[in-house]
Amino acid sequence: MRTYSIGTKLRSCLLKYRRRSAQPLAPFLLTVILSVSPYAPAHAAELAPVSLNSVIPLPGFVGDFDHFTVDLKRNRLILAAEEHHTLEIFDLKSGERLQGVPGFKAPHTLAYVSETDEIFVTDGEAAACIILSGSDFHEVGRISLRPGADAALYDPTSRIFYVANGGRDEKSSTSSITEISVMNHKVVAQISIDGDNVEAMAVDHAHNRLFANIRDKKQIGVIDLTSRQVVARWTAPGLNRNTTLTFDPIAKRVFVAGRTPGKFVVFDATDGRVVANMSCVNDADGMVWDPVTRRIYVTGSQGLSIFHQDGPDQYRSLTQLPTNGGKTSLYVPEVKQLYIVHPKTEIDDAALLIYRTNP
Amino acid sequence: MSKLVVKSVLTFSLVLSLVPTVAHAQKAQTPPQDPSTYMHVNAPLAQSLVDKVKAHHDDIVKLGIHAVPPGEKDNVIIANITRSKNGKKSSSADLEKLATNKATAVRLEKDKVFDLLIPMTDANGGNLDGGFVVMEVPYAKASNEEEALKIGVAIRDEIQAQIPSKAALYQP
Repeated sequence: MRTYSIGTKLRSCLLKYRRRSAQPLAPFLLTVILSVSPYAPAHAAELAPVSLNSVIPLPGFVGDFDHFTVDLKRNRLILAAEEHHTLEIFDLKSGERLQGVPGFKAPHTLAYVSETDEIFVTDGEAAACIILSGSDFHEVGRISLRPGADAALYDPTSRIFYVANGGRDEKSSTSSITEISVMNHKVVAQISIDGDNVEAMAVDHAHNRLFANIRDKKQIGVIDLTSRQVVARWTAPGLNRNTTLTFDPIAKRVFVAGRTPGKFVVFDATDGRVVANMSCVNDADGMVWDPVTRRIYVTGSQGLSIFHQDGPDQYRSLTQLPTNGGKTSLYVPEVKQLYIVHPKTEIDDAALLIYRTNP
Repeated sequence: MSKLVVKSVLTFSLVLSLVPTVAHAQKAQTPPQDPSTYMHVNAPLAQSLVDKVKAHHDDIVKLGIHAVPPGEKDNVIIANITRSKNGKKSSSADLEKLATNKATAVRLEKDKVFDLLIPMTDANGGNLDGGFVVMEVPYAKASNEEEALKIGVAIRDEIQAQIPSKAALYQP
C-alpha cells in the first residue's frame, strides 16, 4: 500500500513539474526521489517482481521436501514432506498449517484432481501411486509401479496422470512413464525411455506430444503420445542434470533448467532449436511459467531466479533472491502467491515461504 | 618506606600522564553524534557477520551493511568493520544506486579499488528495509567491474544466507 502511494505521489509530482517547467528533469527527479522517506526500501519494493509475504516455520521437520499441489475448492495447499514421510496441509491464503497426513514412505509429486476430488501421490520407496480422498485424506486406491516413482504430471485435458518410474532406483538403465487414468485408477499405457532418470514433463496438446527431461542423458525427450515413442532428443551447451521443465504453448517454447551449473535454457518446441541459454540458480527443482506476467520462476537450493519473456526468443533476468535453500515451488495465480518450502538450515527451522507476486 | 613512597609517586605520575592519552583515544573512537548525519544503531548480528565475513576475505578492503533500522526513517550504516562509522546516514549517492535495485561497481582510480554497492535481503528473500552491502575490491583482485561484482555478490550471498530475518540483525 505504501509503495503504491509513493508511486502515485511521484507520478503526480512529475506531471505537475512537466506542466510548469521546461527545465531538465533529472535534478528535480533526484530531489523528489530523495525527499520521499524511506525512499530506498519503498522504491526497491516497487521494482521487485516478488515480495516475501510470510514465513511459516515448520519446527521438527528435518530433511527434504518435494512438490506441492493445490485444492482451490477448499483453499488448501498440499505439500509432500518427502523425508518426514507425510503430506502437509496448509491454508492457501494464510499459510497456516492445518494438519499432517501420515502413511507415506517417500512422497514426491502430487496432483489434486478436482473432477474426482482426489489427490494422486507418487511414492518412490513404496513403488506406487497412492490415491487419497480430497476431503478427509483416507486412501482410496494404490497402483503398483516400478521403484523410483517420483516426477509426475497431471494433464486435466486428457485426465491422465503421467508418472516417471523405474531407472536408477531399481538399478536399471531404462525408465517408464506410466499413464494412469484419474477417472478409473487404471494404467492405460506405458512409455519406455532409454534413460535411468526421467524428471519433469509437459504436454503439447496441439501436437499430441510429451516433453520429458531425461536427466542422465542431459536431454529432453520428445514423445509422440500416439505411437508412445521418443521421436526426438534435444540438448543444449552446458545443460547438466536437467530436472525442471515447463511449456509455453502459445509461443511454442520449452523451458528447462539444468542444476550444475544453474542454466535456464529455452527451446523452440517446433524443432528443438536453443533460443536462450542463461545462468540461473543452481540445483533447480521447481519452475513456473506465468503467461499473464510472462515470467518464469526457477527455484533451486541457491534461490529464486526470475526471468521475463520479452519475446519468444528474448529473455531477461529480472532478479535472483535467496530462498534459504528452498528448491520446490508452486505459483497459484488465483491468489497471486508463490509458495516455496525450505528444509531446516543452520540458521533456521524448515519453513513455508509465501511470496506475493507484484505486477 | 621511602622507596615505597617514591614508587607510589612514580606510579601516580605515570597514571596521570596516561589519562589525557586514553581520554583522547576514547574521544577519537566516538563518532561525532550530529543527528543530521548520525543516529544511534545497535545491530549485534549485523556487526558479527561483517566482522566474521571480512576476517576470511582478503579480496576486499572495506565491508559494511546499510539499512533502515526498526522504527527509524533514515537509511544508515548498521554495521561496518570500522565501527566508528556505525550510525552514519547513507549518502544520497548510495540511495540513488540502491533505487536501481541492481548491484553496482564503480572504479575509484585514486584508491585503485572498485567501490561496490549490492542490494541485500534476508535468507528468505525478505526485505531488510533498504538493505545493502558496500565493500571495496582492490584492482589487484579484479581486473574489471564484472570480476569485482562476482566477488561482491558471492560475499553478499554469504552474509545474506546467515540473516534469518530483519529483526534478527538487531539482536545478539
